[in-house]
Amino acid sequence: MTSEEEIKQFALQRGAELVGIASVTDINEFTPAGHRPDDFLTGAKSVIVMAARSTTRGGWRSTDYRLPVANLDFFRIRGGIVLALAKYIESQYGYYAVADTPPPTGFNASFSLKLCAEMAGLGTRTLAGGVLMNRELGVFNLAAVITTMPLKADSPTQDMVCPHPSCVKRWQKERTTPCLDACPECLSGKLEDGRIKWMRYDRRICSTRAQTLSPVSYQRLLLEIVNEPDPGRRKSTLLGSFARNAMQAVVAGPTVSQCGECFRYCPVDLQARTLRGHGDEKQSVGNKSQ
Amino acid sequence: MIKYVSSELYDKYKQKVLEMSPAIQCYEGTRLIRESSCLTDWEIAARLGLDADEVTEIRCIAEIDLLPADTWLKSANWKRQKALR
Repeated sequence: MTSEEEIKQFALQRGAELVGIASVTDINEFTPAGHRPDDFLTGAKSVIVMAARSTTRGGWRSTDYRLPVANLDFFRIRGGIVLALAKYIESQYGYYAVADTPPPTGFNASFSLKLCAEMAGLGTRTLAGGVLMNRELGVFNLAAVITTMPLKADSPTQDMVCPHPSCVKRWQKERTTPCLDACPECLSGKLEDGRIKWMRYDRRICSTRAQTLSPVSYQRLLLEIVNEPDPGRRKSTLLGSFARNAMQAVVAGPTVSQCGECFRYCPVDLQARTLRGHGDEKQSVGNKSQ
Repeated sequence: MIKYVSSELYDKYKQKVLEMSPAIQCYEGTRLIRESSCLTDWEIAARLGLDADEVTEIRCIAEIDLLPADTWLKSANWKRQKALR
């Protein structure tokens, strides 16, 4: 077994569903200064990216919009897996490794996991806000280890999952797709010759949906409360359910991934989250190198 | 370094900084275009003649400030309706 295979196996055994490797040189071609892997780990050569389902499939089978986030999957375990892998690389191979990068500043991430996953061949961008998808997992959650270990990189996949043939047909008839139709405030775009011609994603609106209960909504609410001259209204806003839920999310729960309306009816994601019977999952996911 | 930004500076640049930041993401095909938007704070600072720290503060405030306060509440109700469909 090669080092690359050993590393991938290590992550898969701990809960990742797909693992790929991207080279820092390739990533740096597309990444602005200050956000490159070697801005965080001096001498970084490789990024090992892992992907797995964002939520249980059952999380989507509900009329309660809060179920997907209440059942977040990889998000809850990814920190342990990347940390274990980073320590494994340091102890087993003698190369430096880091399991995380600094938190975002505002909404700007310090490091683009999405770009790394794309370079590692785990998925391709979609009209749904540029999120990555693949046929096996649909939308997926990501984590990565940056290391000074030189590893053979995987290449970006040529399997463009978006647009799905049914979306192309709908576009031809109605000039829309399930994702654009679901969230025209955040998303816009155009298909041409069965491919994405252009797309635009408005993070300002998306952030209020994907992070409805979060430090941001709490900060905004707090400013309103402080400026509210009416004591009764101030009390109602501060002690009401929304402020309490926002605070609760900040303290104890995930404050991201609270919306997935743009891929609720995405045919690629729908297919990936449909159970076909016992044992299918084991056949449909695995090491990217297999 | 965290920096205090005056109301005058904030008001002058809030819209511009937000529009140039990744708040708006434009793609040609599936390739992200980083010409007039999706720029880093350093890149915005260089174009506007500001310090990167000032841009960071203006952007962080504008990300929250420029939407009405009830937007988040409306978002929760919007998602509730969508899930019921």
